[in-house]
Order: sequence, then C-alpha cells, then structure tokens
Amino acid sequence: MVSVIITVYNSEAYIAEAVESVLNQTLPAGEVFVVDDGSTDGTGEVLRRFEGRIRYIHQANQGQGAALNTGIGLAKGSFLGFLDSDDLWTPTKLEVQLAALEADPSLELVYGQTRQFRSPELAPAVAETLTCDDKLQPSPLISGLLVRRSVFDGVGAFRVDNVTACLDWYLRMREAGIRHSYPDHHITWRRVHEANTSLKHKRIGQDYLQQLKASLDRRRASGGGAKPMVNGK
Amino acid sequence: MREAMIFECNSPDVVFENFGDEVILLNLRTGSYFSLDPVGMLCWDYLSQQVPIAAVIERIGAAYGLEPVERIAGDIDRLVEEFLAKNLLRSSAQPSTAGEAADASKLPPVYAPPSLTTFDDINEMLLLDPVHDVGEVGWPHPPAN
Repeated sequence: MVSVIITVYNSEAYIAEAVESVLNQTLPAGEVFVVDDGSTDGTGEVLRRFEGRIRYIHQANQGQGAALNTGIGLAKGSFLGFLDSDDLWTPTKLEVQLAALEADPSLELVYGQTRQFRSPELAPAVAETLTCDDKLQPSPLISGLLVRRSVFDGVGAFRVDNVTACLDWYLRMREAGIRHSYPDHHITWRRVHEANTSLKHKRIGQDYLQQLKASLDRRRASGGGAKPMVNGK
Repeated sequence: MREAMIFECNSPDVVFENFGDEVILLNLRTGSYFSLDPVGMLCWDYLSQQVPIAAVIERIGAAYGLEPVERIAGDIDRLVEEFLAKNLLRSSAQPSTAGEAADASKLPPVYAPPSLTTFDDINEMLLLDPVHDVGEVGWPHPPAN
C-alpha cells in the first residue's frame, strides 16, 4: 500500500489543488494524510471539503521536518509518497513510480521529472521577476519522492532542528548509498511563486553551505573520505 | 600580463564559506560544489579579495620561505585556471585593499600544491532549490526555541 503525506503551512491558496492532484491518481493511494503544521490562515477550512477522503492532522507549528515525521509515524503503507502543499502531481505519478519499484526489488527510492510553472495568480509584473526554467528536469525534491518505508530505518527521520530538512535528508540518503532512479516520466509540477524564491540567495550562505560541510565531514568520518557520492552501494 | 590580473568571487552565482579547515564553494548556476584545502583556501581568500596573482604567489611563497617563489607559480596558475573554468572567479577592475588581512596561520607546515575538489553528485537538488515555501514567516524554519 502507498501512504501519501502532504505537509502544509499557511497555504490556503494552493492546498486544495495539491490534494486533488493526489486524489485523482490513476493508481489511488491507500491513505492520504495532510499534516497541518499550525497554519494560521484558512488552510484547515479549505481542507474540510476533503473530509472522508483524507486524514487531517493539525499540530503546533514545529517546522517542515517535524510535520513530515508526524506523517511517517502515522502511515501504514510500505511505500511512502510526499507532496509539498504548493506543488502538484501529474495523474500517473504513483502508477509509474510504483511500477518501477515493483519491477526492481533492489531499487529503494524513485524520483522522476518535474516541470516548473509560474503560479497563475501572480501579477505579470511580479511573474516576470521570477526565474522559472520550464523544461522537464530530474527532480529530487520531496514532492516527487516515492520511497520504501524501510529506507527510513537506515537513513533516519527528517531533522527538526534546521531549516532545510529535506536537503539534509537527501544528503544522508545519498551518503547511505540508497539505490534510486529518475524515470523519464513527468511526475510533478513545481510551483514558482514569490515566497519560494525571494530568500534563495539570502539563505544559501547559511544553510546550503553548512549542510554540504556537514555531509563532507560525515563522509570523512565514515572512512570513505570526502569523495563524490555514487548512486547505490 | 596574466600575473597582474585581478579577480573577484563570481557572486551572486557563487557563494562560499570558510569553515576553518576548508572552504566550501557552491556554484548555484551549475549545482556543483567544491572543497579547498588549506593552501587553496588562502589562495581563494587573496584572489577573491582582488589580490593580483603575482602578489598571491609572493605571499604564499613567503609564508613557506620558498625561494625563488616562482617555483610555485605554476601551482597557483593552475588553481586560478580551475577557478575560472568552474566560473568561481571573474575578472575585476578593482585592486584590493583588504588582501593583507587573509589568515595564513592555518597553513600546513609543509607546502603542497593547492587543491580544489569538485563535487557533481547532487547538481539536480541544488539547481532546483530545495528551500521551498520560504516566506519570512513560512516554511521551512526551525522551532521557535
């Protein structure tokens, strides 16, 4: 069974479309959790229309890593899929990824291709200022991740004490040598809007570089040296 | 003449941080990241602060008491070539005023040619910007305390 975990924080404008993209899969998920990390806008209200089709969990605001961990803790499926509240799945996303995992038992994790789009509500003057490469490209973002639950036993949970929990988990997954693939199939739409680009450069110096440093140090400590990581053990 | 050329960090495409034991650089345009060893770190400190190559050679040579300093010129030139090939540095018109401040105290006792290690193992992730949903009060962020 596939369990889907959607995490959300103050995303009343986008969350319904995200949930619909999960509910409209050609291969339906066994269960769909929406973990609301203490939204203060109308997110909870918007989600009422999906009552009976999703499990809605509201928790005090703790950050994305904690919300993801809440979902993983509740999920019963042997495969876990994730979606950010502002992104979208294509209708055959789960079908394609699950087929890849079932065809190859040694494959532990599947991503796919994403296409970025400018959020349609943006004023043209604002939309023009946002970088949005709309070519199909391989995406290791959380919104495209379908993973065997057992991977979390080895890699561990998402960290809750840093701002880029998904990059940290991705680095640890790669360090662990988890075998993964990027099928050619278009599986997600990544929404580009003001909030997810405006702070890019400001945060990178603090977060990306520190996480890369931590990853290199872990690789050295494990005896492998700070070598580039390869796919699979 | 090449030795007189002045460079600067190719920001904002390139960001870097000195962690004491290594400098890590990230090229946001390509998704590649890099590690510099201690001699390379000092070269980067000088070059990114617009110290001309000739002066960098002079200072590294002096730090190791190497005579003549020209014997390490090829090493430094090769490093600059790599910085330029990876678009980490770009030409600059402004001579430095801050270069003298670079810290040579962490150099290893014996000179070894500076080394830049390139990592092309997570380009897809870095190119797509995993910092998602980041309004000032939005995700991701650590707990309040």
